[in-house]
Amino acid sequence: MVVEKAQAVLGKVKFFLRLRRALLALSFSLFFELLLFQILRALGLPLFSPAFFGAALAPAVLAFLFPLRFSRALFWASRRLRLGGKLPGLAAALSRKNTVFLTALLEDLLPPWPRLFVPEVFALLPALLLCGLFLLPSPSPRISEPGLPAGETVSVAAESAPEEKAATPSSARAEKEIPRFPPGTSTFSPYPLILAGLYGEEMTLEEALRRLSEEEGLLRRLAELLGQASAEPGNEEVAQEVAGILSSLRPDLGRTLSQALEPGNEDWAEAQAIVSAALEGLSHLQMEAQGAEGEEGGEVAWGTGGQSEVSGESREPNGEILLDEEAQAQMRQELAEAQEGLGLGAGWERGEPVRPGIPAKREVEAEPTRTAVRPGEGPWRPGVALGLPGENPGEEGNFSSFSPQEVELLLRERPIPPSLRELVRRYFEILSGGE
Amino acid sequence: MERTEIDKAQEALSKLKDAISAVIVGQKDVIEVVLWALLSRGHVLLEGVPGLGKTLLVRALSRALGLSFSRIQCTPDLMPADILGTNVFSEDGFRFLPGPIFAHVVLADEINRATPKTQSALLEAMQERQATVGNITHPLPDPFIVLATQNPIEMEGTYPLPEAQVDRFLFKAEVRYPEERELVEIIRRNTEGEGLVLPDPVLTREDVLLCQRVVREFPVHEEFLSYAAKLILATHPGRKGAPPAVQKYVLYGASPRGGLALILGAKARAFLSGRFHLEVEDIGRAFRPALIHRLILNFRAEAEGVTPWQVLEEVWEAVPPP
Repeated sequence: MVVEKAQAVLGKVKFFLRLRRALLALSFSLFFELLLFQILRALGLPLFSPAFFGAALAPAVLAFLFPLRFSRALFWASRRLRLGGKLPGLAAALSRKNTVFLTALLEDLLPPWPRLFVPEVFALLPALLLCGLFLLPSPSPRISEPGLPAGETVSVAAESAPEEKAATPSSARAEKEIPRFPPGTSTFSPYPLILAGLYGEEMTLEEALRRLSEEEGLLRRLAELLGQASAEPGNEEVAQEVAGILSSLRPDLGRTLSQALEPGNEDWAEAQAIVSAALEGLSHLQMEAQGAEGEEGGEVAWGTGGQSEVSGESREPNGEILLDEEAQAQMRQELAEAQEGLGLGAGWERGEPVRPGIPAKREVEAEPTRTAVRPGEGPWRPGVALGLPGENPGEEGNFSSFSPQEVELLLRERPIPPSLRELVRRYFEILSGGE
Repeated sequence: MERTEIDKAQEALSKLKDAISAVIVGQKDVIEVVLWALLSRGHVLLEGVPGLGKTLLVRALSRALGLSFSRIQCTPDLMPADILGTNVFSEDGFRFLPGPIFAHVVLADEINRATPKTQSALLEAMQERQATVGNITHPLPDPFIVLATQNPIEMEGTYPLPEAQVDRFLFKAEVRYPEERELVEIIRRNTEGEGLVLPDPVLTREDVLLCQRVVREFPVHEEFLSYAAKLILATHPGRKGAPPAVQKYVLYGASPRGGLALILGAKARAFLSGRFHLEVEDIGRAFRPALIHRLILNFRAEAEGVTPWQVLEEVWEAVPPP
């Protein structure tokens, strides 16, 4: 009986020593894999996959199975368990089958087993934590994400601003059906999706920004050419250059402009208005997209390109960032200056004459309600991904229309200033081909 | 052996320690080494200047153990027969008259004053636990322990023990001079009341033999044995793992008896501490008394004033524990 008990204790020690070695090996292998992963990511070769991290188990298994020099390890374990030389003494008594000494040694032998693992577990936990972070879904833009399951809806109380209510009467409903968002997706930026949607293909955020920058240049040149063309119609050089630019633009915009500039039926003003609106939209999109790069942990960066933050914001217990009046005023001023620089007022209406360089100013009404920005909300959501700016990948020209309700939902979900909301509404109207 | 016997032995040893400590002021290390030797069936060489209580310690020990005690005052004219005994002629013919060596506890005072011939006879008896007189061998009583003393400073008219014979002492205890507090206590005890009172017996011969058996059966892990062997080998110059001090100052390292002394001392210490397992600390405590008299330093060490303990300290540091 005593012999069996001693054997059980020593067997347990042996098992725990192997387990400890395996944990140690797992910690080290995870650490090195994370290091390798970071290096590869820095080199632009992300090798992320659960199997990549799963490979860390191999050294752990090997370490567990590798022969253990038990007699030596027993001393270490005994010291770690603060048992002095009891375990080696037990092993020695067991080897001699000395039951008297075995009984005496086993009498008060209560090894605190967790002590064997304490530092190793502390080493393993951060590694596992980091590994867990890497195992989260990648925030890279994927417009082909599955959509919202049909029929899944959620009711949300409407809290639209008065101007929103005026623009979209349907949004005045107390409740409306909106897609249910999957949980755990609140920390991702929507901008890569928007940009990817604009170009109809998947691309990185950097690539999309580069494309936006190029397109902005083209649009500015087009705006100049349209001005020249409206002043002196029939200029062949200008017409050729305009045609060249139109072919270089993204398909939806190019098509819209081509319709406006149909030979013999040119509507220069409308074309100019479209270009100005597109420029405005691009500018805002760039600004937001750059801001998205600066976002972290659900914080929303305001200002130009996300580089500066509006001071004076406060955080409510539910996580909303509330902009106080001073901050709102500053924001409105910045936006107004930006609109001036673009030569377009925020309240441009279709058909309204637009003169490049001369902003058509409109009085921006003061925001009657506080602007609530929910950090961490409005990121990648499969339900919204399909409805974002309207293109279905791989189906050029087949725009899925964005209903006014969905646009309103989008406006509510995004930190878009009230003064620009009308522009966004127009943007989606243009995209859907509606008036 | 039963568990109750072990408990009884431990209890008896505890009483013995208390009884000796009640008589001897301080000198805890020396008392401990003497008890290790008793439990290990070994002998002790006590080195110290006169008047430090060496004889008193031995007397107190023998009284507390309830064993026979004899004292041999070694002088240059002491003959082996004076120690071992002799055959005397009587009416019945020759009859063996046992010498003082035939006692359980023997004090060989100032052993280095005896001639090598006498020393040799004594040490042979210590080793073999028997004495041969004429052509008859007489076994010595069991338990048998010799505690020999020597004065480290007075060399004139002495015959230093040959290394081979020193090696037969399991331990060497260095009796240090008492501290002021201890000295005050010694003076007080010897000058007040009835003076010094030796303890009453607290153990029987059987108890002592039981304790010796327990120490013999004390389980020691192989790694401890290996550690002791490494320590012994590290005292040998030219050996791999020997520290620089050994290479530089040691002429001959410790003998295998050093290893026995190390383990036996550690076991006895663990048992005296009430444990049933060995600790590295036990070996550490036994290290000095077990090996300090087994290291033979070279002339360079003597010239540079290097002591065996300085070398042993380096050996201890050089060999990692299990």
